[in-house]
Amino acid sequence: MRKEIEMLKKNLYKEKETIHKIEKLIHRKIDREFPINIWELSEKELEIYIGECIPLLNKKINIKPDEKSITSHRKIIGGAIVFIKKMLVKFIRPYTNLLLDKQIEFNQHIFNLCQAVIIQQKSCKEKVEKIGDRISDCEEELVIVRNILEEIHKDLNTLKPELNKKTKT
Amino acid sequence: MRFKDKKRISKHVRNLTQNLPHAVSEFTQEIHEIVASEGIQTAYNLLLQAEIMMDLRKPTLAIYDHAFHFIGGAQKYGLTMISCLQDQFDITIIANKGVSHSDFLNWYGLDLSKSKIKIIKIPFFMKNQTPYIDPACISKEIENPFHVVSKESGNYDVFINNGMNEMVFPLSNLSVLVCHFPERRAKSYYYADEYDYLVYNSNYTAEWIVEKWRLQPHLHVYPPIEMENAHEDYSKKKFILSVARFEVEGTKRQLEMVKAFIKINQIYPEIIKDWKLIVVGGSDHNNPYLFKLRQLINQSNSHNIELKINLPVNELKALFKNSTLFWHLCGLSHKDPSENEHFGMTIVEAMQNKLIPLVYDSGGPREIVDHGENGFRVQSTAELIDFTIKLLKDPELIQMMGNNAYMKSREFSVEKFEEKIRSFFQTMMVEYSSIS
Repeated sequence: MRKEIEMLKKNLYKEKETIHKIEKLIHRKIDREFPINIWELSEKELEIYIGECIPLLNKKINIKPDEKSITSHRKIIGGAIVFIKKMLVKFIRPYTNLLLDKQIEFNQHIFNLCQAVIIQQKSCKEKVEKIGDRISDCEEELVIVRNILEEIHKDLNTLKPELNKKTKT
Repeated sequence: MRFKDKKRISKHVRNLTQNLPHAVSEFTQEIHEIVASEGIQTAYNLLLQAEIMMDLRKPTLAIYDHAFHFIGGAQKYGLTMISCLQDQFDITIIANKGVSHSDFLNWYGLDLSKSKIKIIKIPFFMKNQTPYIDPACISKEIENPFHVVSKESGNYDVFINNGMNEMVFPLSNLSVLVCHFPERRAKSYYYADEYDYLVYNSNYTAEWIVEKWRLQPHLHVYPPIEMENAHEDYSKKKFILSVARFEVEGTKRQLEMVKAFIKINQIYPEIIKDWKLIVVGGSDHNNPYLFKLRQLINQSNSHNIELKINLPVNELKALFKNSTLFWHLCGLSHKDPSENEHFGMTIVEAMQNKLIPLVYDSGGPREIVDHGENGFRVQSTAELIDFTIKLLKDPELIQMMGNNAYMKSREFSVEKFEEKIRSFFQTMMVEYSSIS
């Protein structure tokens, strides 16, 4: 029985090793999409998020269709379909450009505005950090002054009985 | 990827152990049906579990960490875990770069000679020729390079992922994810919720597992900390010690600590003149943060501040023995919860040597230091200065708090760690190997 189980295990192992995809090994999907909730992100995560978004937004400013994006999946008549589509796009381009040019201009303004806000926010952050450093220095000075005052108070308390004696005499 | 119907496995196991006729053929038939319906890995796992239920062999366990080739607290945690399981399991240590038993003995004092070591190279990281394997650089645009480890995990009864690497998919019957801190949110290639058990090192880590991963962790085990001969009597010198890596981003805040000490030097020269600040840590030699630190010390003309880089273990232990106070400001002005100390192993090591810890009040250190009893938790460099001066002026307070610190440190001993780990794995294996 032991030998038979060993054999069965060996055969399964050999077969398992030929399969590279995890999904095929367990007959189910393993990868999922996870939406980002930006309200939950920390300061550092937000910085990374902003850094990733800016180049993506920049790529999407121009929304005019590119001739290379006109394709067809049909094998035989695909060529003809692509030709007709390109002709159609050429014909209506002057009319669609009326709308798209305005949208592209708007997109560019919004993108520039985003960049301006980010630059301003960075500058504010630097100022806040400097203020934080100054507050930290002030706190340290206060602590030191408090300690010095405590020592003076302690010394005065030690001297008090002697001073009282001297005043009496 | 356990075959969930235990009754079916148990039925076959009973038939096989009783040597009933057709038991083997029926079992083989079942296996082939499961291959067709649930995949070959599930069928293989069923076989593995049946072997354990029939007591045909010792259970196998693999532990993986993509950073086993570096010295680290997290790596020590995982390896100490398996060192107390070597009699119970046939263990394989899976690493991505060359490492040996003698490395583990030298770095952590752990004899893992009963365990095998298997090196699985990841081609994606090999082409960069960097020693660092960083899951953060993997996006969904490329194929998950860690699946080569995911596949390997399916060859064992138990798979432990020690590396805070949620991109390894567990294929074993039983799986444990050891989370030292959830660094990344669920993004591409996220499989933390596929593990059977989630072990965590501190309540701070647990809070962020819930927050970032929306998962409830299972088992809390504080890291094992044992400084050998820490209990021996030795003469304390007037040293203030800091032990932490010199991170390039400066997250361990050595600059701030040095600035605070320079201030004390300037204002209280009489009190501080016999004291020395010793800043110890690991670093590459081309570290710009280290350069800034050296520059600050040189410009201050302070002769009582020392920097010690990549100190050998014996010298570090000697420093722990001889020092009196321990400063640790990791987490000060943090921009991300991962920048806080997740636990603080060096703090406990200091307390085991009767050093009084003055630590930043956040993260794991809150679970170690009781403010005013066995150390101080500070919220600013001003408080760090304040409490340090308080201690320097009061040798009796130093004596008392040093003893309290030592008593508290016993709560994080290796014995307690091993006890919890053994009990956890025993319970797990009893359920796994029982015939229902």
